[in-house]
Amino acid sequence: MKPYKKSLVLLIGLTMVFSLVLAACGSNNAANNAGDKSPANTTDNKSGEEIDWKTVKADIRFVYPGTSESEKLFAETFKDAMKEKYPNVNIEFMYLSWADMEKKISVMINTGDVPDIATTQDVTNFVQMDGLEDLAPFMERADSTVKKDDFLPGTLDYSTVDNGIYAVPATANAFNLMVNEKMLNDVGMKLEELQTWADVEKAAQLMTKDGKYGFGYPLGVARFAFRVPFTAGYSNDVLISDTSEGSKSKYIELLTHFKNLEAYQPKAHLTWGYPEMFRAYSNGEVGMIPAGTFFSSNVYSINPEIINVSRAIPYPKGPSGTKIQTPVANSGFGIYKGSKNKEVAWRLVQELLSPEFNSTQAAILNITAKKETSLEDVIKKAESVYPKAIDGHKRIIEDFMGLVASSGVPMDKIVGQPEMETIVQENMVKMLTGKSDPEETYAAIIKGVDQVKAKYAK
Amino acid sequence: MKETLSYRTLKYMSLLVLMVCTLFPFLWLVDTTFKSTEEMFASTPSWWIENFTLEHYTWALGEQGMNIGKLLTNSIIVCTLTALCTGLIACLSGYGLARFQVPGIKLVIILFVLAQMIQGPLIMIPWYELASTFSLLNTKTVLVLIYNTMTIPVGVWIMSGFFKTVPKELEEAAYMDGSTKLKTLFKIMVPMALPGLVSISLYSFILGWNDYQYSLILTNSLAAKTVQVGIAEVMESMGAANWGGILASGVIVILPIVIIFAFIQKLLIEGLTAGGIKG
Amino acid sequence: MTRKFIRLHGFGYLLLAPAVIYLVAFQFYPLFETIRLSLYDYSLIANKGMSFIGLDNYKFLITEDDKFWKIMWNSVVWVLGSTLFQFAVAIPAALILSAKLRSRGLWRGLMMVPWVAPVVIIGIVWKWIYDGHNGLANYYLSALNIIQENIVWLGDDFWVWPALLLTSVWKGFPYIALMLLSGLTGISKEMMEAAQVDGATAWQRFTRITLPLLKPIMYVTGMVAIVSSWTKFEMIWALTNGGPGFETSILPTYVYTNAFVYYDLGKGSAIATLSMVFVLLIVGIYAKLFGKEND
Repeated sequence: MKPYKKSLVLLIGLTMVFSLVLAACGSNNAANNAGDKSPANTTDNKSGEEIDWKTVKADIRFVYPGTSESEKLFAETFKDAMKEKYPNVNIEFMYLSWADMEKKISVMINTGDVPDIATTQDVTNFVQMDGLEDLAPFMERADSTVKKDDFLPGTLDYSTVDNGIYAVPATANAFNLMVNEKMLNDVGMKLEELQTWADVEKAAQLMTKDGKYGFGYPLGVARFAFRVPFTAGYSNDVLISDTSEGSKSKYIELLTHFKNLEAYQPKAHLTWGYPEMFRAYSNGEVGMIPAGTFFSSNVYSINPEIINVSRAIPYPKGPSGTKIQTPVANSGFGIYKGSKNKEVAWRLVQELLSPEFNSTQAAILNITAKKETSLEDVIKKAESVYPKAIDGHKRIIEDFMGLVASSGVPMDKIVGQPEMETIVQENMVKMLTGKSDPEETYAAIIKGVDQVKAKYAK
Repeated sequence: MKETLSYRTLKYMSLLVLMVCTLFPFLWLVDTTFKSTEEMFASTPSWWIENFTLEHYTWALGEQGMNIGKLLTNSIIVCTLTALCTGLIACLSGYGLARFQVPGIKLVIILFVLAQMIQGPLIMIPWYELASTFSLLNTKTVLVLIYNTMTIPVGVWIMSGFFKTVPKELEEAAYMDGSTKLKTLFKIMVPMALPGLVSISLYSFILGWNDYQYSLILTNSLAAKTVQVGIAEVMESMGAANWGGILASGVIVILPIVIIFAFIQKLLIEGLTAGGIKG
Repeated sequence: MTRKFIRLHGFGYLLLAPAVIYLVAFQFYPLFETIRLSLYDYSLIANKGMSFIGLDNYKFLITEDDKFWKIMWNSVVWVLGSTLFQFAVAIPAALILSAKLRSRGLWRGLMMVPWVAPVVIIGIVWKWIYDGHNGLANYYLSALNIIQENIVWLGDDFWVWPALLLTSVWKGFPYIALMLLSGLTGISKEMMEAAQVDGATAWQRFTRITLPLLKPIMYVTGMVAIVSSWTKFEMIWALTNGGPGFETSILPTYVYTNAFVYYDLGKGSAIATLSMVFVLLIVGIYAKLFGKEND
């Protein structure tokens, strides 16, 4: 018994020391390997020879942060269809939430072990990390089924950084104002009357009574605390990252607008994220919320009825705005730079963008980024996703299509945005709880934003 | 001794208060999982369930939904292995810490404190490198390895606390009888500190059970993914999150531990009788 | 000399070896990496690689960063508050559950619920409880006429810390209670009964017998509670994200935000290293204050 135990202890100990030594030597190798392999493979198929896709073998890791039922169904349907077409290509979906995806992928890029296909929204960070492949050369190929001018205005720009295209847009995400039309009419206003910020403030004031409120701005999460004034700023010709002296008065108007709205919001909006905001809106407790094309999917499970009384309008015009503008982003697909199967990945991305799959995806997330995908298809497919509110949903899709067409501009991509988000949130909360006025808030935000800019300008 | 009536009342009243405070959020969670989604998000909170439904549980258990059975199996395997590993090492080293004041022991203590501090987001990158070098990504092994780095320091420490409560005379008597040091540890000391061993094993099990960050970074396939990651990944998608199903999964995750513990806790008491202490 | 040394201490070292070697093998490299990165200007998204900057990250945090000391103070409040209140709840809980009760196993099992509840899930429930608009807390407190107006628990300067600490106590006390429970089972009934025969009151029995015998366990449990509440931030993250701004941040959330939201690994590592130094300090003080009698 005794010698046995002793040697066991020794054995455990030795193994561990050994593994430590290995670990120290091994980690460098890993990084080198990944670096070696990728460039060699990209040149493989440039010549455009005929490839027999039936025989191509590959394991594709597809990062897919769409885990709601309809999105998962989409993924599995796609996988099955591809299995038929490319019997030797194996797709493995990595289901993740959006927030976790950013974290996990940053670790993976950092260690050189990356998946193949990316689902993207804002590509800025990943491009800065040098993690995504420029798809422009792929799109320029003669046999490419995805061309640069296939897309709705604004959408492709959102994936473009210094002439490199880092994602192919699949759906367009527009950020706007959602209005409960019934509540608005009940207080004697029409949707068409919401033209300026003053109109929004007036509507919010009228709606605020009997425990109901006019407006809901989710301040509890930095990303949303930033995104709302960011969206509204477009219609006042001011970007929230714009620290120039010339924009000062427009910036202060923007801050003042939210200060004015404060009285017409439930106090709890200080701690809200999107779920709480959508909940209050769905229950008819808040009449207007700043949201986006993802609206339907978020409110549908809480109260499908709300879709039938909701309308999507661009965020109305500010006092110094020359015209109404709606920032348009996209959700799309990219290819990781370190992928060992770029050709296969590109093939699959093209398949994802085909009318069949694109319209299915758009049916879930409202509007497609591709011109050729027919609205009828999208709406028909939406019937199975939103069966209980299909009429209202149709009208909202039309609203969105209209506002993107009439006022869509590409949304700005800001390096260091996460840091700016915290700064905006902190100072917005101070202002809205009465601890500072718009002038002071402006000064504090500008100071912080300038520091962030300086950090990345070096 | 006979218990007086007032003592009994006091005892059960305090138990009631304790249980109500402890379980309130959980009961609300359970209550919610039987409501329809619309009701779940109603404006006025209510315990009353208007439309009783089991659909959320069907989703949580079903293969089309959360498929939580597979995830639970992974979690249970990983956590059990972690608990066993920690239990063994903690017995050995905890005894060392409690009874053998070797030179340099202070350093060892500092190491234990530090080891506990080297946790969380920053060690993800080095650990990912390690795991990928040894082809351990996406395996249960890597989770057991990393969980042990959290549980071993605590385990050793706590076992040393329990060993210290055992009277030295017992060991001395054993040595007199000619028992070796290692035999004394396993035959005399461990049974005496069994409640401690049970509680640190449980501690290790639950620390692993509660982990989310490590499992998120180091695993992604259904072969190794744990419940925590499974639940978290469906929470923030662009499509509609199935809140009811997510919450129901939460209830399913909590229940097995409560049941396991209700049985295991007997060891906390019976350990003593086995050790044979009287007075 | 060496021979004697080995005979005297050899077995002790052998016993300590597995844990020490395991930790050195698996934690040394991460520790080394953390400290190494803290000396670099290393942002994943600044697109300019790594550059060695010596102690600049530390200098910035300690002298220039106006957030750091506030966050540091938050951490101290969080750790001391969590640990003290967890003990304050766990001691009575352990005493109740060590008494003779019907279906005691069940109650003990149920006590574990908070501890095993996944934060991602239970965070949602606590958010519902604290919601300033239609949360449970406001609903019941106003039904009982305790408050007239809804309180935004997590958005209120005064209430936010008590609210966060309550969740921390709720989540953490079962572990301490479990440890104390294991300690209590070691106290022999005969001793208690003898004391009772001698006329000791329940309070005297508690302070003179129970507490002293629990001391070694309480000492280590306290240490573990301090260190683990210093590193555990999931609950704060689920409830407030450490915000607004950095109002409710503690050091681990600050590390997290810097490393994985801002992708600034250099600064994140420096905060983590400082955080380690501080916790060693706190543990050192703790050991000085309470460790003497236990060594």
